[in-house]
Amino acid sequence: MTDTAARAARMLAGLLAIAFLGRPADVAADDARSLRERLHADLHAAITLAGYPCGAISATVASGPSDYAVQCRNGRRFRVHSTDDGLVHVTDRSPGAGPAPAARADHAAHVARSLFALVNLSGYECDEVVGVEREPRRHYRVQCRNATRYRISVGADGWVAVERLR
Amino acid sequence: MPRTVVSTLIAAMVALATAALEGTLAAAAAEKAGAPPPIGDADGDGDVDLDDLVKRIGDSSAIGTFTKLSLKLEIDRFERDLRAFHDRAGKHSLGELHERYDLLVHKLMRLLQDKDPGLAREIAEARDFLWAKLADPREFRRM
Repeated sequence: MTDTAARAARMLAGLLAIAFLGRPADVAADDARSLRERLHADLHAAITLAGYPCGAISATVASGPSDYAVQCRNGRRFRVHSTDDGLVHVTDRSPGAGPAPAARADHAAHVARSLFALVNLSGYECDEVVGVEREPRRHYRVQCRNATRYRISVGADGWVAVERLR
Repeated sequence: MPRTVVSTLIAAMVALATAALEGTLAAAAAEKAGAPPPIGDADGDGDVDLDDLVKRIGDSSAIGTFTKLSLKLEIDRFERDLRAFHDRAGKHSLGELHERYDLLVHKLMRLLQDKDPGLAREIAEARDFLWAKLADPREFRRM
């Protein structure tokens, strides 16, 4: 083998080594990213179902296996943790946040909270539902305090669609 | 998976969806063989393994743990209010409870339909059937 061929072979071996050595790191990075995305989606859904607007999660800090400090892109901060009795608690830790308002148990409050969750779980930002208009077949038009409006509908296949209205 | 992770209601949704699907398949097979299709499922549960179905939801990565616990809390409250209605001690009408049920299913669908479409489809197919069971006081107490 000539010197040129030997150098080429060594270079090829080096490149292959880098490629194969690099691969597990890439996979590990992908796994870590996937885990983080799933955790963010889980925390976001819990905050949304508790009735708080979050937009998207920008950072989390774990202070226990089931205890997270969450920073949202809209500037709000929350603590999300679960207890041994299977309850999940979401506490507003935003600057200036007072004690959590008592959850209203009347029907209008249930409906507004569910529609709020549906809009925010669909990637939109509704700060608070201030108006609800019912349409046939459990379809809704929703007005939010931040002046955004949405239509929530259910297809024949049962799939739920949330559409922002202009 | 203990039923503390997901509520009996979710388990029932999936179980009834599976039972309904099995019933549909059985009816199709019977029709093909020339026999009349069966009319409904007398006991609703059939031979469905609820624990296995609950485990399937519990193991699904489509909904995270915090989300499951949040939904469980909401379903527990709904179940409490529906029980109170059937005991004639509730504050909510059946129409209101039906709307809450529908919105609860909407949320489940919203969470599942993109990440676990098979499970979402089963719940969509079962939703009316399950509501009929929940709205019937005798069926509700048997669930």
